[in-house]
Amino acid sequence: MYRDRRTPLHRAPAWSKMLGLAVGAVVVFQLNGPVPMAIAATTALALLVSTLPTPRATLRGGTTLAVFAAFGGAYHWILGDASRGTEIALRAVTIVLAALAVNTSTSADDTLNVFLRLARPFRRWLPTAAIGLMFSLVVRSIPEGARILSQSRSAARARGFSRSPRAILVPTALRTVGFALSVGDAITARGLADFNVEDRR
Amino acid sequence: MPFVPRLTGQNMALVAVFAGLIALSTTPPEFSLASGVPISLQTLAVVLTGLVLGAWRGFAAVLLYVAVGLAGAPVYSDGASSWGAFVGPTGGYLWSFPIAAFVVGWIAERIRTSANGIVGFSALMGAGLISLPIVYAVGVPWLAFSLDLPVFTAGSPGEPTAIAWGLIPFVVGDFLKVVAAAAVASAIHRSFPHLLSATSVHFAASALADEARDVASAPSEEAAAAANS
Repeated sequence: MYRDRRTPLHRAPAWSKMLGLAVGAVVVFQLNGPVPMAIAATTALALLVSTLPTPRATLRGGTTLAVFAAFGGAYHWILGDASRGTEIALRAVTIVLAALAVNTSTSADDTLNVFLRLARPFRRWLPTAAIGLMFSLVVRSIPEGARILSQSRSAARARGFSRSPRAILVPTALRTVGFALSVGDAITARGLADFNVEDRR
Repeated sequence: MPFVPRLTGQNMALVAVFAGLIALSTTPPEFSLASGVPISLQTLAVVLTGLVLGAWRGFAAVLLYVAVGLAGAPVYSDGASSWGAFVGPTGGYLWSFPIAAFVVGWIAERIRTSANGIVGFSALMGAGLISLPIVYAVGVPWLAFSLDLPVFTAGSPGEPTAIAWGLIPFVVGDFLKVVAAAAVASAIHRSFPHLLSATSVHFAASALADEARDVASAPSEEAAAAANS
């Protein structure tokens, strides 16, 4: 969803965009009436457009939530309160557009750095290096999990159990735990877990 | 067992791999019901994480999954924009997952200590079922608030409520997913009996290392015999 561009929002620090989104989400719940909501939605749309998003990513990221917004609005329309319905639908749309603007203008690295900064007060228990290591392990373990799942599925099919969730889920989970334990051994063996050696005997 | 498990290589790997497992569980359509409706296994994976890893590591794994998703990896269901899913109408379900994993894991750890043996399927299922009220208690009011729906009672009969949209369609499926998670978790605990007692695998390894060091440093009998002669 993120594209490397040079727009004002791309250049703004990631924390300011996240804070802005949080504040904005609170503010739109304080606004009442279709006109202020329409202004808010237009602002959010302008913000999103200013990040030069690709149409495909925008559609993919926003469709489900837009459907929810439409449902929420339609509910009040049916009840005969059209202005309230418009307001609710516009509010949901505003939030989705603003969230998309944050997504398209903030790289994973920048977001991660904000999280690492937020976790700094807890570094005595959770060193920054450990969080970074775990992030990369998550990314690494997804294809491994997918591989294990597809192998378990072929094995179940070969035994004639292709419709049994148990025959697929149990071997997948067991082998995933086994994979995790071997990764853990590898981390320990490389000394990557020695964050507090003096504490450890 | 210490209040918070130690930051061993094993614990870090388990947390990260289970976060990856939750991410994997949202990729559609892994399984479909007999009717052909694809079901997301996200609830199953979250409950399984709590049941297998216990409170703190389960909480950390789910939190890590949420953080990876917010950073931009397409790991939320429906491939939705991550910040949109987080602050949008369905965000409450996402917020509740770390809490649910923590509570489920906390109970699962207590089962382990009291029974002092293999963790049974029914006990795990009981622990897992606690997750449903937690998820709904956070998810449904937020859905109601952000779409301005009534939570329980509609003004006139037949009107939709947040319960009707955000709870009733999912209850049966979620119940079945918890049952499946408990079955898988009990299989895992049978195969890896020390997984829930966070530090014991590490201690077992260090005990082995101590033993090896003692053997290596103790004067061997041959050496003693050679010294005597």
